[in-house]
Amino acid sequence: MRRNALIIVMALLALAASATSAFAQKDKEKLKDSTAELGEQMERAIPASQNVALSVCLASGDITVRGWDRPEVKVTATSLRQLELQGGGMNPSRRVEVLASNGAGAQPGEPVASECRAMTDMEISIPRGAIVEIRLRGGDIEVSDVAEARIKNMSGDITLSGVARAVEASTISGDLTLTNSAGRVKLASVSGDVDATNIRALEPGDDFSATSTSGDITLENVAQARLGANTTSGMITLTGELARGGSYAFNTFSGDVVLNIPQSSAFRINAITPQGSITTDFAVKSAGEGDSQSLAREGRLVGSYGTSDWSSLNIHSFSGTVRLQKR
Amino acid sequence: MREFCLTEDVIQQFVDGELSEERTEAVAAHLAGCEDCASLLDNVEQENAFLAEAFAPELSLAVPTLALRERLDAAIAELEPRRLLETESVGARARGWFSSLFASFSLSPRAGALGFASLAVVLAFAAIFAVIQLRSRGGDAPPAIADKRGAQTAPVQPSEPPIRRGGVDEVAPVPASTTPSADVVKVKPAQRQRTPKRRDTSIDRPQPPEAAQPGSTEARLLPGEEGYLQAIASLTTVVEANKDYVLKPTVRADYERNLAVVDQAIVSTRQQAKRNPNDRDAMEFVYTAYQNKIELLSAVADQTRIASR
Repeated sequence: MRRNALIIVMALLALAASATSAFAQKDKEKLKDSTAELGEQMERAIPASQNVALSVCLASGDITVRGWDRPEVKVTATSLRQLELQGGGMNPSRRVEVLASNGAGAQPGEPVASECRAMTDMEISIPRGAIVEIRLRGGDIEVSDVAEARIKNMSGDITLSGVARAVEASTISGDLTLTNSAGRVKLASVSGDVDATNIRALEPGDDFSATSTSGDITLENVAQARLGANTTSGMITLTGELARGGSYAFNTFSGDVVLNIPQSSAFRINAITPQGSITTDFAVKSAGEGDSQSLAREGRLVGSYGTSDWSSLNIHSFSGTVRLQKR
Repeated sequence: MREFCLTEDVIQQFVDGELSEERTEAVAAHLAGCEDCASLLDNVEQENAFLAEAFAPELSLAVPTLALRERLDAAIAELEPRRLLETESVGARARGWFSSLFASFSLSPRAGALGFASLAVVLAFAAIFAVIQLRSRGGDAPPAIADKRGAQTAPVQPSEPPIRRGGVDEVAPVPASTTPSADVVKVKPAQRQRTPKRRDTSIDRPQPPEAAQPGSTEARLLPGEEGYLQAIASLTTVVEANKDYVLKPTVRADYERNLAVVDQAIVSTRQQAKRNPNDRDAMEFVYTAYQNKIELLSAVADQTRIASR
């Protein structure tokens, strides 16, 4: 009897030991799956829906995001201890958060840090219909061929191309470049330049806004019918056709405003520069008394050019020069 | 001829914010034009960030060093006997003073009775006088309340909202008391005039409006300025609280430089508006300059919030 009891106790102890060992092995594998030695390149992938929303937040490093045709998010990074793609929503994932950490001492089962402290260069491939949200403190960001991009960077350049539906990007210290994109656009840089080229509107209500404190704003072939550009000391240049019936607002304190527009343009203009000057290649029909050229020399030009489908041009520069040039 | 490159020591001091303002500006300017130095700066910043992250758990603990603890113990030990001595001497002095006071009142029983009777009469007169005074004051109270109510219901003169010309949208009416959000704060000129808070800054830059100077009067504010000043003060508080440890030195230098640019714009447009008080365009330039400053501060405040998480 006593011998049987001893056998049962021994069997139970052996079972408990093997179970503990199995769990420990599983944890070790899980940790191995999400951690690596520093310097080693890590790659993670997760199935994702075509319109997946991806978010990344890093302390520093360059981030490159490219749209592709596969229903999958793939992330490659270096110099990390841990990298995880946290999927949400359904399978395939509709939301994916990229979690990365350089930190040492991660224990089995411990989640990857997500406090935007990781420093790494990262390359991301993502379905073309994706919405990309990036927050970065220092480094360059490049995004191409996605549906929407929402980007905040503290210092570094932001380069966007082929964004199909909406862009919202801001940086304090860096240049911002947007090309071959469409939809609603909002670009803001404090000290860098803002350049936009070949931007289409998807819907009549799509607007375009570009601001900078000391950087230049250069717009070429921007088709949105509601367009605003605002800088304190930078220069604003618009080159291309005006949208018929469009509304344009340009504002500077000391920078120049230069419009290079076709001779066939039609517009109503209200330009004022109390301490600057206005020059125009267009024979603007003055709205008040006096001819437009003499009024322009006094720093005020209110009138119209063309016969129909006028665009509205509101130009205000405190001490800069306003130039209307024929292309 | 090419300028000499910065040493690592100088770059480290620059990153640590240990250089003078002038030197910081000079180093920032050099870094902007020198790729080698900029690369060195990147390295230093990355090393610092890496170390800060690696030691974050240790640095976050408020543990005094052994030396500090010994100094504290020694200081406390030194203070204790002195405090005891002081307490003792004060107590002894008080006891002596009271005993001498009571000694002077050691009267005969008859004189004592007379003294107490006199004291009772004086107290009775004092009580009657106090009641009369309280009644007479009670009669004045209602007019005082009425005056206060009158002041509260005084009409507030609304001011005309400005038109935002720089952006696509016009200025949206947002209460100035609203907590600054990640988005740009758009301000409507406030309806009441108050003296704005002055931003504390160590950088020499053009001070925007006279209204922002201490001691200025409310009458010196231009119409609608108050709302902008409140929003600016609120955003400035957020930025100033975080910028030194969140913004990199190069970004901080950029921020200060751009702040000077917008402040200069505010000063110039404001002077123009004061010279031409009936010129609506002049006022709109002022509003635009203020809005630009708010946009700048909003952008930086937003980034500092993200970075300080």
